[in-house]
Amino acid sequence: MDKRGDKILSVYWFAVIIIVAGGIFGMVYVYYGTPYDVREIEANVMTNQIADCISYAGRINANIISNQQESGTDFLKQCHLSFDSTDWTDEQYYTEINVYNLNYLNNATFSVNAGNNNWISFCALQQNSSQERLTQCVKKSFYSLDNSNNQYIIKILTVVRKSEKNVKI
Amino acid sequence: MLRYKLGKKGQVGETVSWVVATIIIVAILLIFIWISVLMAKVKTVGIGDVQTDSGTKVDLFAQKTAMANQLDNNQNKEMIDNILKENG
Repeated sequence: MDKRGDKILSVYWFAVIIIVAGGIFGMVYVYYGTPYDVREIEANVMTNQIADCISYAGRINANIISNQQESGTDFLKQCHLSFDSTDWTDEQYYTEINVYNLNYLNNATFSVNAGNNNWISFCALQQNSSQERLTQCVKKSFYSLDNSNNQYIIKILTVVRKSEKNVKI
Repeated sequence: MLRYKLGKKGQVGETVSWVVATIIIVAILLIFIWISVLMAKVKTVGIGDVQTDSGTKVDLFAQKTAMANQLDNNQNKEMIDNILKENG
């Protein structure tokens, strides 16, 4: 009788060990299986690079602003940026820069955009917490002067998608 | 007969305590799994985590604005600050 009880108890202990091991495996899998989301930093680094390219030490880069017809690709080249990546079939970035003269705030003096503009619509959805993981949008603005001391407000919007590599979907 | 019945009661009591112990173990495991799910959700490295070598946090855009303000002793500083605040 005692022997049978011992047998049942050892089976029970094995079951408990398996349950605990399974639980620990589950915890590790859940935590380490989720990637770090670094898109906010990526978007901020990109925004900083663009801001430095447009204005440095309080003065606007006249070469960039003077060219009204500048395409997004040319702008990226001038700012030493490239949105092409071998890891993705379509571009995962979008940026939009608007420069406003302080006297004409309704019309942008200079405007350029580059990248995949499909992602811009996701920025509005970011307000909804369940969809905030679709893209990371960073909106920054600052003040600068040109060589004639004209005052400008520069607005930069940067969008990074790359959801597959930063979020567990 | 009485001894047999008493023995059975003892076995039932022991089984109940093992079952309760198992439930507690499973419950604790589930709580830990739930905590790891919550921790996994906040695996985000944001700009707030970035520090300089000196340990201070730097706002590049505020610095740029401040520099431009210093260049021409800006008269519209308040207005510009409000515009920048609105735009984030």
